[in-house]
Amino acid sequence: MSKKHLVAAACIVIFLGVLTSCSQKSMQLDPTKPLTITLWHNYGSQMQSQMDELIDEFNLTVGREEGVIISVTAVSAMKDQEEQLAMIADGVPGAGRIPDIVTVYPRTAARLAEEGLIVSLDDLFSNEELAAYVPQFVEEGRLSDGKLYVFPIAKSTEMLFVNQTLFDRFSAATGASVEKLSTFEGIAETANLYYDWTDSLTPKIENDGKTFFMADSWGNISLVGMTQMGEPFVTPEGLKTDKPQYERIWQALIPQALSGSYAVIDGYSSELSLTGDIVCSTGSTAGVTFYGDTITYPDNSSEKVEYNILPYPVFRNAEKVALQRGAGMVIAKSEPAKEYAAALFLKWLSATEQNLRFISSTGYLPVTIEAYENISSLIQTEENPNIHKMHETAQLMKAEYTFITAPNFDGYDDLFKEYEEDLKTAMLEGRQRVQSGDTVQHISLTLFDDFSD
Amino acid sequence: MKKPGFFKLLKDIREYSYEGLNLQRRLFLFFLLFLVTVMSGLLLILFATGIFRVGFNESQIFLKNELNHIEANVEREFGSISMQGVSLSNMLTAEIERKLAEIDLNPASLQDSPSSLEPILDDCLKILSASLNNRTSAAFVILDATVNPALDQAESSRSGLFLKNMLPNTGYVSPSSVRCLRGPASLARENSIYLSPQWQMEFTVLPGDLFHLTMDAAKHGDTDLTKLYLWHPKSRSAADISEGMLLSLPVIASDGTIMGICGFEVSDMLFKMLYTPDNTVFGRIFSILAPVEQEMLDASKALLAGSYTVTSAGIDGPLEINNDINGLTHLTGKEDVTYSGLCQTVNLYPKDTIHSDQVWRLGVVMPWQDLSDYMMAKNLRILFLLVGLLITSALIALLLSRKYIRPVVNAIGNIRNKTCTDYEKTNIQEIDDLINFLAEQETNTALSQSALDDSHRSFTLFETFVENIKTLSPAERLVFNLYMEGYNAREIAEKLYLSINTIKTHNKRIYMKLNVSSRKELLVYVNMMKERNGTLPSVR
Repeated sequence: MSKKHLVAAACIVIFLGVLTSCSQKSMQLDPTKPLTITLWHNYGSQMQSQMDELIDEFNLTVGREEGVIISVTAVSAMKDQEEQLAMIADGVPGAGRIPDIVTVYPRTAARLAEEGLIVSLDDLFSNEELAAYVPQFVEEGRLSDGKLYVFPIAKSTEMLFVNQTLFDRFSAATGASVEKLSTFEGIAETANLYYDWTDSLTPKIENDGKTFFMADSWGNISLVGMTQMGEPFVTPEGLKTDKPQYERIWQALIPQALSGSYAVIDGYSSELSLTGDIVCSTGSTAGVTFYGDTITYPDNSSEKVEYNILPYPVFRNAEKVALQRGAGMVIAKSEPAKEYAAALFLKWLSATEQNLRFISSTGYLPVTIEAYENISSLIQTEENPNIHKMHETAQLMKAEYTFITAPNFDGYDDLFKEYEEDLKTAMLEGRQRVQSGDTVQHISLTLFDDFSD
Repeated sequence: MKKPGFFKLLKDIREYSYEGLNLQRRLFLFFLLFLVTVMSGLLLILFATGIFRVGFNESQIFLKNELNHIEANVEREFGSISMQGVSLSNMLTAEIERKLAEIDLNPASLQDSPSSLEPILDDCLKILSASLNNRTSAAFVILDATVNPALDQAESSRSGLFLKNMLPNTGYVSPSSVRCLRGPASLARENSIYLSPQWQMEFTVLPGDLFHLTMDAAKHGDTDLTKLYLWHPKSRSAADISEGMLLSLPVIASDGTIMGICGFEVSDMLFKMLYTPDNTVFGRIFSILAPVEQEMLDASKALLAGSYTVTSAGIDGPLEINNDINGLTHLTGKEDVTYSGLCQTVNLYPKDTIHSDQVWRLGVVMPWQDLSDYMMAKNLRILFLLVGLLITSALIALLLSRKYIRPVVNAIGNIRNKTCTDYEKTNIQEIDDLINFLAEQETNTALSQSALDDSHRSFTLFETFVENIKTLSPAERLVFNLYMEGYNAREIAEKLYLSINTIKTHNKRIYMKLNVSSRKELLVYVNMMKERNGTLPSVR
C-alpha cells in the first residue's frame, strides 16, 4: 500500500471518528433544538428570585450552548410538593406528571424510586465530580439500594429562632434569661413562666396565657434528643420509646403542649411568628427568611421586631447534636437526552460559584467542599440581619456540634411520619381534654404509657 | 495597487488567449461557462418562485398558528374567568347581606362595625375557597372597611381575604396548597389554611389602584356586573400583593351600597403554564399579554409565558410597536432590544362595558435575532447546496475535460513519437480515422521517400556518370560518343578502323571510369542524358 493510500486511509478513519463523536453528542443535545426541562422547587420568597436569576443565567449561557432550557413550572412548600409527588407515585388521576427535576427529601425519593419514577445519578455523575461535594451530603442522597438518587443543592440544619423583642419585654418583667433557652428543659421552664406571665396580664380571664414555643418538627426533637443522650430513636425494630431518655424528651414537650405554653399547629412556626403567637421556635435554617421584621396583632396593629438565632437546644448534660437536613434534587426517569440535560443543570447549579450565590440570601448552607470553606467571606457581605446571624450560628455549630442525618432504612419514613402525627394528635387531643377539665399530669402520664408501649 | 493589478491581469489573460489556451482548458472553460449559465438560470427561477422566502413563510405560518391558538384560549379562558367573577360577586353579595342581616346591620353600616368583619369574612372564606380552580391562581375579596379605624394607616387599610393556590398546575385545588396572603390569621387557622410568609392582616389600598378603580367604576350607577368587571394589569400596587393580572368586580348590595370588590388572579406562573407557545422550532419564543398605552405595549404590566425563563426583569418598560411590510410585528424596548413575531388585539371585554376602552394585545414573539437567524439559516442552506453543486460540477467538468482530451493528447503525442502504423486503436472513431489516415499517409510517404530516395540515389549516380565522362581519354571519348549515337561495338570498330579487341579494351576502361557494369547500364545513363538535355549532349 502506497504512502498516498495510507494517508487517505488515516484521514478517513479520523473523519469517521470525529463524525461518530459528534453524532454521539448530537444524539443527546442539539443547540438548534433545545430540550425543555421542567423543574419544581420549594425555594420560595427571596430564594425564588435567586433561583430565577440563576435559571435565567443558565438558560442564557450553558443552556443556550448545549441546547437546554430550564422551565420552572411550580414553586411551593415542601409539604405540598411531597403530597403532590405522593399522589403522582400512587397514580392518582389528575395528579399530573412528575417534572424532569424536583426537590425532595430522601424519604420521598425512596417512594419515587420504588415506583421507578426517578433515575440513579451514579450514571450521570462521575466519581471525580462527586468528590467535589461534602461527602456526607452526597451519602445522604443514597437510598437503601446504595444508589445515589438525591443530589445535594443546599443543606440546612435546625436552630432556635427567638423573637428578641418579645423576649426582652418578657425578660424585663420576669427576669427570664435567654441562656436558659440553650436546653430543652430550660425552654420548658421558660415557657411555663411565659404562660403564667401572659395569663396574669388578663386577670379577668383565666388560663388564657400565650404560647411560648413551637417546634416545626416534634419528631426531630425526639430523634435528635435521643441521639444527644446517646440512644438511637428510630430503628428498623421500631421506636425506642421505652428508654429512660425518651421520658426526658416527653417531659420537655408534652406537659407544655397540654398546658398551652407550647403551640401545636399543622403549619410552620414561622407562621405563628407573623402574629406574635410564639416567642421562640426550632426550625430549619432554610426558613430564616420567613421570619419577617413585623408582627401583626388581631386588631391589625403591628410592631417591628428583631430576631436572635441561637444554636439548636441540647438536653441537659447531653452531647451537642443537631440534624443535618435539606432537600436535594432528583431527576425523573425519561429519555436519555433529558436525563443528561437535567444532570447538566444540576452540575452547573451546585458548582461552587452558583452554590454560594444561591445560598447567599437564604438560610441554606453550601454543598461543595470549596464553597463550605469560603462561607465566612459570605457572612461579611450579607445584609439581611437574620441571615447574617444564622450563618454566624452555623459556624459556631459547625465547630461544636455533631451533625446527623435521618436514618435511611426501608420503612423509616412511614414510621417517623406516623410517630409525628400520633404525637401531634396526642398533644392536640390532650390539650382539649385539659381545657375540658382534666389535669395535665394525668393526661401526660396516660399518653406516655401509650407511647412508651 | 489594485487598479493596475486588475488591468495587468486582464492583459495577461488577453495575451494568454492570443497565444492560445490548450484544448483541455478550452473544454473546461466551456463546461464552466455552461454551468454558470445553468446556475444563474436556476437562481433566477428560485428567486422567482420565492424559494428564498421559505424561511420567512414558514416562520410566519408557525407564528400565526401559535398566535391564533393562544389568542383563542386567552379569550375563552379570560372570558370564562370574567363570568366566574360575576358569579363570585353575586355569591359574596348574597352572603354578606345575609350575615349583616343576621347581626342586624345594613350594608351602609359596614364601615362602622369593625367587629362584624371577621364573621363576614369567615363566610366569604368558604365561598372563595370553593371558587378557586385550576384556571385561577387566587381568589380575593376586599371590603370597604377596616378592623381598626383608630390606627394611623386606617385610611389605606381594608379588610378582606386573599387566598392563593400555590400549585395551580394540578387538575384540582388541594386544600393544603392554598395560602392566605391577606385576612385574619385566626380565620385561616380555623380553616386549616396556612399563612403565607408575605401575610399581612389587611390590604393596603392607594388612590388609583385596583380597589379604587373598581369602586369608582361601580359608582356610575350601572349595576350590571358584566359591564363593570375590570382586568387590571400586573402591578405590585394592584391589591399590593399580586404578581399577576387581577379580575375585579364590585360587591354591590341590593341597596346600592358598594361594599367592596372581589375577584380572581391569573398569576405569572399560571399564565406561563397555560399559554406557553410551542418552543420546538424557536427556543426563545414566548407569548406576551400586555395593555397598550399611548401606542406602546407596557411590558412592565405584561404576563409572559415561555419555556425559556422570560421574566419581566428582562423585558421591562414600554415596547414600541412597529409593523413591517411583511406583516411582522417588532416590539422595541430599552437599549433597542427588539422582539419580533405577530401580535393581535385580544378582547377581554364585550362592547359597551365601562372598561372596554382598555386595549390589550397578545403577541407571540421572540428576540429578533432568533427569527432572523432562522430565516437566514434556511436561505444559507439553499445557497450552500447551490455553491456545493457548482463546485462539484466544476470539479466534474475538470475531470471530464481531462478525460475527454487525454486520448487526443496521447494520440498527438504518439504521433510525434511514433509512426502511425505502430499506433494502437483508441476506439474513438474520429481519432482512429485520423490515425488510419495518417498511417496511410505515412506509408505513402515512406514509399515515395523510398522512390525518392531511389530517384535521389539514381540522380546522384547520373551526375557522377556525367562528371566521370570528363575523365575519359580522347580515344575513349570517341568510342563513348559513338555509343551515345547508338552504334554498337562492331560498328564502332569499323567506323574507327579499329579492331574489335581494341574496342573491347576501350569498353573496359570506359565502364570502369563511368562506374557501369555493362553496355546496357551505359545506355541507361545515355538515355538519361538525352532526356535531360533533349538531345545528346556533345561530349568533348
